[in-house]
Amino acid sequence: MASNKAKDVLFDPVLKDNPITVQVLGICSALAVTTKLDTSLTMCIAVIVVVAFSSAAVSLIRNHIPSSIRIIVQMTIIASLVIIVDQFLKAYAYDTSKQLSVFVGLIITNCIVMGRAEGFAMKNNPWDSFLDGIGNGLGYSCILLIVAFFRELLGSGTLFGLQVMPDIYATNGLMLLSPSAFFLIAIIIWIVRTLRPEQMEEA
Amino acid sequence: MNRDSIKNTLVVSSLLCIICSVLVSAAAVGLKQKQQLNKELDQKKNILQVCGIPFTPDSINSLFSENIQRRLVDLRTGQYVEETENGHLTVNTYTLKKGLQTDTTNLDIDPAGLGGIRETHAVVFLYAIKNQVIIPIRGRGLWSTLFGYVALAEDASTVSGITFYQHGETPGLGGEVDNFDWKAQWVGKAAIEDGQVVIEVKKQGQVTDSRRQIDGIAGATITTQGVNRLVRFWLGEQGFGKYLAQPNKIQTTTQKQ
Repeated sequence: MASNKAKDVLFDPVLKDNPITVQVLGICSALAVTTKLDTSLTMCIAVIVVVAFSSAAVSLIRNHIPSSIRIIVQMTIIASLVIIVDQFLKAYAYDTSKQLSVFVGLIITNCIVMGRAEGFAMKNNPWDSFLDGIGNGLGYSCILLIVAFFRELLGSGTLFGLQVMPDIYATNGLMLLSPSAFFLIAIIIWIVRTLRPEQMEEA
Repeated sequence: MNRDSIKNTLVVSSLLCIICSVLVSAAAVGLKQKQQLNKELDQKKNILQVCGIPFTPDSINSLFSENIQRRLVDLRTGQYVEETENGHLTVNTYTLKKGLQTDTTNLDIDPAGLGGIRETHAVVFLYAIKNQVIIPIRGRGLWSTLFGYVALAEDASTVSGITFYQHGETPGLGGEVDNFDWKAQWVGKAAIEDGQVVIEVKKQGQVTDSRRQIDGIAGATITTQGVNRLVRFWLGEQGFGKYLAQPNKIQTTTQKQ
């Protein structure tokens, strides 16, 4: 039973309760960083680390957090983790971190991180919260990488910076601009909700 | 202890702040050296880029030391010097940060938004093979100070490249100063004619003289105006004007060595 629950907590957010397609959270960075696969991948790893460890940390002290300042406590933990991740990126992946610019810092305001801390970690034990964080991070990453795959392929004709499209393919500049991520995310949500009608909202 | 009591609130918040600040400072201090190396490498990369030298991540250091010379310039006279008068800084130890601490000149007018002072000396880079001089530039954009380099033909008649290695402008708008297509516009533009700075960045779509004017970035008017002011400032009399007016900037160097 326990292992079943852990599995659900980890994998539910990827398909069944995906933070982007079902809860429509964290769209801002999904638009901004998905022009290339390698920046998206770095962003995904950063978000997974932050959401997993912040959920675990919040859950660890959940019985001591005074309810009047609980949001501030969560923000402080999240902000500290984001700064640490940003420092590591600047030390070990300088070029990517330069391209991500403010968006690493903006993980602080990513609703997924706050949402999991407030919605899950405050009520569950640290291990489940940690898995829930990884799960939600993976759900977010999944969509980000799908969007980035199509944007880089159609927009630059490359994947991870390597040319894959034949030379005669004329790159589509629209795919490099933010609106294309809106279209792609909308198409993904459409497909997912057609396959899983139970996710549709009442009109 | 009641967890909603004032005492507990204070205890939890202070403890949390102490723990978080220790972790954040540890990460910042522990990784500082590595970040500094990355920054220096990134500056070298930008200089190679602005000179049009192709490079791979591994060859940046060697290509830089083979092709590029550093020289210290006294901005008041435009001459090369070996060290600043107070003798604290030489061409090898000079950095902008140290220069701004010990070696500054007050500015009467400050179009580039440098806070009323600029360094008295500056490091320029020479690329002898293509007869280029590379000067550092910086100034206010919309949100941040932009730092970059301009490469010029030796007689400063034309621009051969521009790059910004650090800024905090809005990604997608002002941040497009990093855009390769936009930077490519600068190549070949007239910079200084008869001692006057002639290069100018116009608002997007208002270029009338394509030999001297750069088309600004749409949606980034204030950043573009900042770039205009800072480039004109550093090319002008208050910046590197006297240095750029010197003849034989590269030959005198090579003879000396």
